[in-house]
Amino acid sequence: MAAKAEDASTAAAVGKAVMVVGIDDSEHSFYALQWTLLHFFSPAVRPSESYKLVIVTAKPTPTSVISVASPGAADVLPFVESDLRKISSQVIEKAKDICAAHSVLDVEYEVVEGDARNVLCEAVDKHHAEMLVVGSHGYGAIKRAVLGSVSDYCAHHAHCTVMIVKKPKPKH
Amino acid sequence: MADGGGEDKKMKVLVAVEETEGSLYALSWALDNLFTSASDVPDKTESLGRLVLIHAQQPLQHFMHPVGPCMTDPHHRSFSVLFAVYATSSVIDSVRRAQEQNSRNLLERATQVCRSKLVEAEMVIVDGDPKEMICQFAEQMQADLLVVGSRGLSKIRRAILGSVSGYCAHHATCPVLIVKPPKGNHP
Repeated sequence: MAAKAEDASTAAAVGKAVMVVGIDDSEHSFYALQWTLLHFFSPAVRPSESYKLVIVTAKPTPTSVISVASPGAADVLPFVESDLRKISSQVIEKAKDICAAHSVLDVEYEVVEGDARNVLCEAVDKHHAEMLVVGSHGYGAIKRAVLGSVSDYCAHHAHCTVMIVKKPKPKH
Repeated sequence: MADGGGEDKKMKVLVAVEETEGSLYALSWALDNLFTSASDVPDKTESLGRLVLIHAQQPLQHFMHPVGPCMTDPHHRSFSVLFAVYATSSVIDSVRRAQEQNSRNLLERATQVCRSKLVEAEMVIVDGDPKEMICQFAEQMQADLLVVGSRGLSKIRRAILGSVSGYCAHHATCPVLIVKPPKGNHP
């Protein structure tokens, strides 16, 4: 057999190599997830050595979403918190549907509170991931103003290979 | 979605090869992870897609334009006196030849890596700024995935020297895979 074991030596001892996919509630994220499943998890391409998939979504803290100094902020916080929690669980639900549609079963789902950039890089370290996959131009409406900052941050700071999947732009 | 067997899973992968260690590591990582299959066929690429290696040669610097030995040229003022000695056409030629030799050696090594993993790769050499050329070529060939290495430079050095991986991450129209060297190599 091809000597593939070198790269995933430790992972092979434990199990499979881990791939972390960062998603949020944007179309780009789900496109990235589907693209990844299509090219890396289809049974035709990779029958024996699959990755273990860990899907991570970052839930922004309520205080990062609204400015704390505004009057009545304390009253609004619980609503914002439950809203964010609902969005995150919807994201996970949709991710579960996509994985099921591609018949990928060995998946872990995580919702971690915090800034997306740190959450993803920490998830890579925590799972000793071999690869991190993120979409581009779509990690949260707030961050959208600074285009692709999360993918850029992860590309430079994650301790593993990073794949940035872009949704193809429609031709003008 | 998953119909037609392996047809729609074939990937056209473009790997950027530069004269850095990170780049060759990226190539072998890509070969290991993108082109393995349970069966050990002599040429795996047929069933799994296309692998293209691209190497971009930096154009020679502007100030090395060939200045003839004639110093009465009205367009070149005083500095031509200095450069007439250094930038003769023979110097240009030998630099260019050295550069081509470098590229060839690099691609030789890359081919060997591919062959040792039983993958046939196509080679492309382009002239120009690596970042732009790589992204342009990826678009032209409609690559499914662009693989680049990363030098793991610190922020300041990256800002000064420019980052091919960073540029490609932003400007390529296809998914980009940035391969980091293993942890031990971080400076």
